Amino acid sequence: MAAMSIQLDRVSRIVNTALPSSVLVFGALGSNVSFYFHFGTVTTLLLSLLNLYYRHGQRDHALLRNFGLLAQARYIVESVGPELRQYLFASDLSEKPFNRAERAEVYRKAKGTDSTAAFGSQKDFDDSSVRLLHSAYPLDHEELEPYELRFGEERGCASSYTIDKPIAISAMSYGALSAPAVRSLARGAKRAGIPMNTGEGGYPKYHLMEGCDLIFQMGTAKFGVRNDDGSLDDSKLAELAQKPEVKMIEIKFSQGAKPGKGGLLPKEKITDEIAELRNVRKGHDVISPAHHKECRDASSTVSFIRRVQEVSGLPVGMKLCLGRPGEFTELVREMKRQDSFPDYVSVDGAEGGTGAAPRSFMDDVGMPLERGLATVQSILQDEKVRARLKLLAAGKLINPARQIAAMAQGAQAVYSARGFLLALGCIQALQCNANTCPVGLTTHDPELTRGVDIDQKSQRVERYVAALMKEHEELLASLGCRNHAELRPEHVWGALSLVAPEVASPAQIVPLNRISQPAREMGVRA
Amino acid sequence: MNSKIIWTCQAIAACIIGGAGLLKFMGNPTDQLLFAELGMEPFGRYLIASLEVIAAALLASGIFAAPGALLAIGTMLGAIIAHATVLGAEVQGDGGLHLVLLVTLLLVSGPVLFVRRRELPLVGSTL
Ligand SMILES: Cc1cc2nc3c(=O)[nH]c(=O)nc-3n(C[C@H](O)[C@H](O)[C@H](O)COP(=O)(O)O)c2cc1C
Repeated sequence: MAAMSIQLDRVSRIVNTALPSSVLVFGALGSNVSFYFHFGTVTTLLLSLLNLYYRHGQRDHALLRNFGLLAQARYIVESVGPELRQYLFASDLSEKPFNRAERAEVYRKAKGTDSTAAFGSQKDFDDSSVRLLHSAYPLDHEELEPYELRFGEERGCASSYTIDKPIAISAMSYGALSAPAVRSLARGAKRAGIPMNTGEGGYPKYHLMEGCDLIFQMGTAKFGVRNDDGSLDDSKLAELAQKPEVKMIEIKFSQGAKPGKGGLLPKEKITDEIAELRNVRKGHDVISPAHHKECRDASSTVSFIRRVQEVSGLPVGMKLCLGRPGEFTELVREMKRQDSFPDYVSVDGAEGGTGAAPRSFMDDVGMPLERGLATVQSILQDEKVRARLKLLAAGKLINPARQIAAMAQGAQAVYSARGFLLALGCIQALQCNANTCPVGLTTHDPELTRGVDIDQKSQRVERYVAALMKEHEELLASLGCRNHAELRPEHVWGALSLVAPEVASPAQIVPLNRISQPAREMGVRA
Repeated sequence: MNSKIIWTCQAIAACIIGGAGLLKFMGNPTDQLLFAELGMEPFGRYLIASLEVIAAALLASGIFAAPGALLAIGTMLGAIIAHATVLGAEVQGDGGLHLVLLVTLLLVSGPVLFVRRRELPLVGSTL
């Protein structure tokens, strides 16, 4: 796939110049050799007009805008795909990380053409995937209650932040993303009324342009708020926190796609502007340190979180991919000891996405979301501090059912990064690290970013969120829950069995009696 | 309302292009002359005649009107090239009637193609 798209890039450039020239060539041959050549003149003329429209007229399809007619091949294969694939190619469900069926759902929601499907599910029902358990007494729509979540209320934070939809755009930096991609997401977030995380890319110049609510992410390199030695510059942070758009601060400890390793931005993607915004040199990969300078153990970590809370005056969260549960338990106990908690913890699953990461980290390090989330939830419960903070989750939560399942397992809101990239038209070309993204989302090549029409794409984000929310409501009603807070693990078939006793230290084993009655009767393993 | 206008356009287009095609098939002397001038007689005449008749049938069919309109526009572009490069505006002292029909055909198939562009095979979904 990668090879094919790079080819597409070159070949399409040839086609785009060859096509208008061939009109002239055919025209000359038709007039001088044989009139029959004018069949070619007319055909190439019509194709050139179509190509012109694709490249400079329409704004719906970034791929066509970037590559013109040649990219049309992709749409043709897509439209005759089901028939072809049945015999020739990969099945609808065999692509990774998101299969075609999953992506198609987001595309439809984002384009506002979500409709029903027929005949039956495409999913492999023999696997252990999450399934929601509906109630025998579903609710009517009128019985549902609006969603609301207030960050910072636990410690009476003066500038607490309230969201009214359980969805946010997960961290993606300017750097990983192109400027128009960032602006499309930011404008979309504004239109949809959800917050957007800035990612660890330093001063959020493009994020700020659209006026959406922002969660400023502070990565281990602290781009945007660092001293030269990599420690936190309190005054820069305080200044940034003053911006009305910045509603919360997120300290990134680790990320599912590369847990235990710092952020990574390949040198191909470092432009003058990015070098300036991050205060780094061009021509080198930018590799963030694996940990915050200030955080060497539980006690210094908790103090650091408190310091960020005090300096910024905003709700402060921590993002982590769960590693050894015992360490997290220790951290929570330290929070209790210091009586100081982050305002939220966001659990990133090992299946999470990234702009660039070593494959072994992407594939083989960290706890997947279901297990990680359930473990964090049970540790917080066992330590009796669940009410002291909010819990968020991310990791392939791109469709309503997965989001609801995560919320049933303890998350109070969900983050998605790649769901929103798909909504912007990501075709999963898997080139985020190479500056060659064919749809212009994760590249700084002006030839490719020109395909991204900010207004169009922000509308897709808005529609995607609206469609998700509508289905959340429908699912809640069918599960018999009036609001998201009523979701419980027993609404998910197979939940809790996911916290395998051997991964938790003895204190965190989920007691058997916690498994709800119905779940146990269904034969769920403890 | 809108669809009535489009159907009228389709009908006019089908009549003009179908008629022209049939005339060519039947060996209308003017057409023979023109195609001789283009150096396409008789094979080219039959080829174009077939395309025209197919276009007329597609236009009349309704569900395939979009490709029909495209085909009509394509053949008309060819005809316009012929008039522009070889034949001249006036054919056999017809006062430009040929050309007027051509332009009319373009004027009626254009809207059909535009309104029904999404029905085009393969490319329709992107238009
Ligand atoms: C292109 C891209 C860039 C990302 N950049 C960051 C980042 O700067 N900081 C961070 O904490 N996570 C980053 N992530 C991870 C996401 O925020 C998110 O945690 C992860 O992808 C899981 O969500 P998803 O499965 O919905 O994509 C990035 C992900 C992608 C795809």
